[in-house]
Amino acid sequence: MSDIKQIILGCLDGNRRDQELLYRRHSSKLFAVCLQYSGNDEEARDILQEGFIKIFENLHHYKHEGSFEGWMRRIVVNTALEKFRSRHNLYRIDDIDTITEPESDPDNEDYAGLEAIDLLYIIRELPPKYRMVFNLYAIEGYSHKEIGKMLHISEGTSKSNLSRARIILQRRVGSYTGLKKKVVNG
Amino acid sequence: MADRGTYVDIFFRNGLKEFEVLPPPEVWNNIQPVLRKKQRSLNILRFAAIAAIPISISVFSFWLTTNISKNFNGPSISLNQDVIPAGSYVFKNRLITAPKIEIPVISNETAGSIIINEKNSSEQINLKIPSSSLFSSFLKEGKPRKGNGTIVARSDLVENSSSAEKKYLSLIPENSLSANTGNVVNRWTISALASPTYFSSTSFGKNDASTDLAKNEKPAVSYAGGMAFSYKVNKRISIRSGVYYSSVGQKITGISTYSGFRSYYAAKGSSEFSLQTSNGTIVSTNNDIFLRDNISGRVITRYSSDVFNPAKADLTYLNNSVIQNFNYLEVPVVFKFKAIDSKIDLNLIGGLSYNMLVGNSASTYVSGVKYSIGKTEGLSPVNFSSSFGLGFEYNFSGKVSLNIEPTLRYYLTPLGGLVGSTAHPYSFGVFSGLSYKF
Repeated sequence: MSDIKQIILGCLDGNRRDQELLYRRHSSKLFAVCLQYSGNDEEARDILQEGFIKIFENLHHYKHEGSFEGWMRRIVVNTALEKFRSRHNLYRIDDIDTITEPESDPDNEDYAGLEAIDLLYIIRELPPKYRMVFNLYAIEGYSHKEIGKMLHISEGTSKSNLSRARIILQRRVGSYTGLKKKVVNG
Repeated sequence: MADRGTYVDIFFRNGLKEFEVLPPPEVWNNIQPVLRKKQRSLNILRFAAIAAIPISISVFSFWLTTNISKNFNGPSISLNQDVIPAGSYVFKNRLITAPKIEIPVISNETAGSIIINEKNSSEQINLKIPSSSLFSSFLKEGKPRKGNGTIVARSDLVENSSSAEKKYLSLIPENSLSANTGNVVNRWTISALASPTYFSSTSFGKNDASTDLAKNEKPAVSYAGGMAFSYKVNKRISIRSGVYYSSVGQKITGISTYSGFRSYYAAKGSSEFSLQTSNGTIVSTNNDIFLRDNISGRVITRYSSDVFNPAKADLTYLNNSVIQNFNYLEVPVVFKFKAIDSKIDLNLIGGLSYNMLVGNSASTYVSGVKYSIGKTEGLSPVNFSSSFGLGFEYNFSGKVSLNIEPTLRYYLTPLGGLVGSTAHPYSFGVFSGLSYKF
């Protein structure tokens, strides 16, 4: 029996040691996901907390087929989505015709030298609606149709938000790399 | 040029792929109580589900008993409207003078003749009941109930009757006659029982991991006690259920325990000690305690003898054993068969019990002072045990009795989750207590 399978069985039996072991092993990776989907650290902590409670509650649904980490990640992402929907359901997401083009040409930007923590900060600076669509499409690999259903928006709105998010990200990446270059070159 | 947007996606996806951030400790601190609470709720649900079983059995038994008495094939009694003068009745064409007849279970309708149908016989005996006046006097004094019942007669009435008549007239013993209460059978019993217990583990299989471990485990002080309700299905058989609390444990020998380790663990990392037992692994939670196995490799720690010497470190020696305790809330369903019905009844007892783990601890004692070590991990939250025994019941009166029940209990499922272990503990206890029938 694999190590993770034993830990899962222990968790299903209510073994606290296995529960803690499962948390310790996967919380860092899942917290990074939470930070990616949230606007601030407090919200990320809430998502991780609720997500892990759901993971423990639904462990008996896990069929030991496919990646366990992927299964946990989906739960955490869904938790982030629920939080987003509850907080942003009153706001209408912008349509494509409201998008303004970026001032600088992203083709000329240099992406080198950025670390994961920089990328996280850049993503978190996005407006929540853009951040959600970008994460779901670019990082998680969902289609616009699926994202539309998840966020209760049209496919077109999902596309427009992704487009807008990309433009903002390109601009921010440019700013970050420019800033970094200045710091390095004095 | 490739789609620039796609490039952004790939750039971020790859950049964040292996990204990890350590969450603050309070997240886990907040998750833990929620999980415990949910576990407790689950245990309560399990308890409720199990408690429903004996209750359902009791209700079903009650219904069955009532139904059987209603449809009993013989001798049975029924009433009609054929009224006979008060003070006498006719039995098989003979007039019998009855000083008093009590019919505790009878229709509220006007009195008439009673027809007794003999089981497996076409013979029908008409037992003429005096009159409505006799019934009315009884109805005033006693507790009439609707439905059919049994004739209750006094001994002098029985003595004056033929042997065939006695058969019917003495259906109920004289001592159960009562003018005011009628013939009420005490079907329910409430008991309070307690017992000191001898607890031990046994395992199956030559290569069983628990066999060697059990060699150095001795019985420790154990006890059980609780409240029980019994329902008397018939004269011989009773069903008993209730809630018991039991504390069972064992002494793990050959383990030296020391105190004063607190000042070392902080400098050298994790102070966790794991002690393997036949019923699970004890994990230390008290960072002041140091454990060392003097017999085999049951203690797993980073502080093995080649890196740490408790004597050189000036730790205080406490004891050479660890007491492992398990606390259970038990819901038994026990059947009692009355083998001897006398002043001292002898019952044969057997049944199953659903046991819920409500606590466990590991500790050591020095001059009566308890030093907590930790807990046994991997214990099953529930298990089943079977019990067999004898029950001696001394009746002080019709309602109160003293019970002494030597009982052997065998755990059908292992207590712990030690891989490769088939340790099935057993215990022996002499339960004693008082019962009240109602």
